[in-house]
Amino acid sequence: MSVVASINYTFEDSKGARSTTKVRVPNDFNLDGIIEFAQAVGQALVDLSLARLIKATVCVGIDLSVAVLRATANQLSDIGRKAFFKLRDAASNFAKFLNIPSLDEPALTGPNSDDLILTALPIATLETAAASGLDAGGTNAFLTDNRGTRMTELVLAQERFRKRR
Amino acid sequence: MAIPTLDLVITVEDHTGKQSDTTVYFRKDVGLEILIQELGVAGAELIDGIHNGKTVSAQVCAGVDLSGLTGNINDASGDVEEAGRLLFRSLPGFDVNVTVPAFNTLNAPEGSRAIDLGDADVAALETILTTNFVTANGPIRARDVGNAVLTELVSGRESTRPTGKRVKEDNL
Repeated sequence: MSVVASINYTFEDSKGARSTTKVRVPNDFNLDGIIEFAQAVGQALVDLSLARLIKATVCVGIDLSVAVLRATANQLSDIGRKAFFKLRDAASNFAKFLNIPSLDEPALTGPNSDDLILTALPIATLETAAASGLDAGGTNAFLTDNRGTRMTELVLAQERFRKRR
Repeated sequence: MAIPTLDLVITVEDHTGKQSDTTVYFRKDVGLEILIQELGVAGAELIDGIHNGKTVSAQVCAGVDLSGLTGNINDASGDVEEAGRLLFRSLPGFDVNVTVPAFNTLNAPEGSRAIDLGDADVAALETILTTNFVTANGPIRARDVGNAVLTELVSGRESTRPTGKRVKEDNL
């Protein structure tokens, strides 16, 4: 886990051009406390700027040394090949699309299909996470779209190809 | 109003070394904010099972509610490429730059690029970054990349920098 968290501020001027600035804080501090500090620093920056502060985020690096992850990339791995998922809120029908780079080949249903096997373990785990949340230290974390609407089901899983940068 | 999500950003690298990010959004429920590390690890493991690359990094980001800010408006003369560069120093003596986009030139003396460190708004930022700021969860202070506290504002200078994105203007 990185030793500092960063507060990223995005300003937008009257022409629509944007620029960012960053302030670092210790990452072993309570998130609500960091947010309180971020608001105070945001006000001080606004008082010095002629542009509008449109966004501020607090980002904390995660220590992946305790995670069970693949040690090296597979020789067939390719970030241009994506696992494409469509998640949906059954009540409102809002959808969230998720692209995961470097799709693992065995997840495909067959050689002539772009569909992924929904019952295959990793995808089934994603489906379960959508339906009932992901266990994060005893508290369930629910998947949402970028507006905070909870996604409740996985409705589509396919292989897609995207341009590499 | 901040969007009530925790954004898990995971970077995946393929065998050629190329990297790509994916973002998974989670609802910021009460209690979850103290389980960021656990959320990050669980999310990274979930995504790692789907791809065959290497998960190289993960970070969790939370939005900050800016609705309580005052005077947060666009001035017609504001230009984010005209920045104020404030040079702070951390406890071991390292330099830390804090850039203020669209710096208000009223905070700089006429005819000079130097920023007036005695200006009330500049001093307010200096105070908040170099002294302990008291929150409901205890005091907090800005740090450098090595987690050392910032101790002083050394200098300030106006500068221009390209944002990388140009806005196309009509009639030019």
